[in-house]
Amino acid sequence: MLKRILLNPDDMWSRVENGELLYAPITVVSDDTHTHIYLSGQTARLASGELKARDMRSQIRQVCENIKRGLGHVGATLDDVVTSTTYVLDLQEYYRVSDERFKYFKNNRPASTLIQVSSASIPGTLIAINCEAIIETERLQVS
Amino acid sequence: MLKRLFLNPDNLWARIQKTEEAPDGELLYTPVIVVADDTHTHVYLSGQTARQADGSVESDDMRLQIRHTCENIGIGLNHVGATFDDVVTSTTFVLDLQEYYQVSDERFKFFKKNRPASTLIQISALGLPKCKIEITCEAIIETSRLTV
Repeated sequence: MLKRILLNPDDMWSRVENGELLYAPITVVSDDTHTHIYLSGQTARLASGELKARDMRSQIRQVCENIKRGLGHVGATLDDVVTSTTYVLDLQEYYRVSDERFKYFKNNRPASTLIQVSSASIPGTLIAINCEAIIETERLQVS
Repeated sequence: MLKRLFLNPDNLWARIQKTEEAPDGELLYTPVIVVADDTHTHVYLSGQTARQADGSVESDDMRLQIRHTCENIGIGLNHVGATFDDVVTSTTFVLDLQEYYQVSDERFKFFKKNRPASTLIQISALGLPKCKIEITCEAIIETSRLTV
């Protein structure tokens, strides 16, 4: 039997309209041995919805902090991420400061895809990253 | 206990960057990731383009780029004992949807039988300007079939 958990932590931003959550920031599907974790695409928005980070480097940092926080809610770490897709408004701008990302994704680097798009989320958003992680179910801790 | 494998096959291109901490260069992502338990194994491929193992792109032609992209996916899958029939989901990013539709039959020479749950998106650029298409794939196989 699979266990499914849909999480909407207070310290992560999510889109609510007319009192209804439009998506689950974190989805967990678990069997006896292993647990899949799916994060909604993370941007540099703070839990309040504010976008304080304006330049690419500080947005990468905030996005990675948001991912780390999301994973932390279920007992996972950045080393458990198996795949990620990165959407940026400007590839060249991203390449110049992408080392910031590798301060977070240090050891196990996920299978990855990088795409330039024409817009993402609210104006001012320069980058969004999607992640999927897998952990042993014995490590699953929901907080 | 889960087994995790991070694979970088010689015959697939991968981006390596020199940094202060890694003067000889370090891999920026993993081309093939495998997570396995006793019964089933997930296989994740980094987004594949028409780049050859040496990083070059032979042709601007969409049909050829689809063919080379699919050949690279085949290399990644084959590296762990999986086939196109095992792919469960894919996302395809193209620079021009109309150009893709005209020759998308090329793709189905590779994805013949089990066709994955798929998403197709037109985007404004890929990592290398010459690339017109990129495909990401996820596959699942029985762990008994996993060979590296």
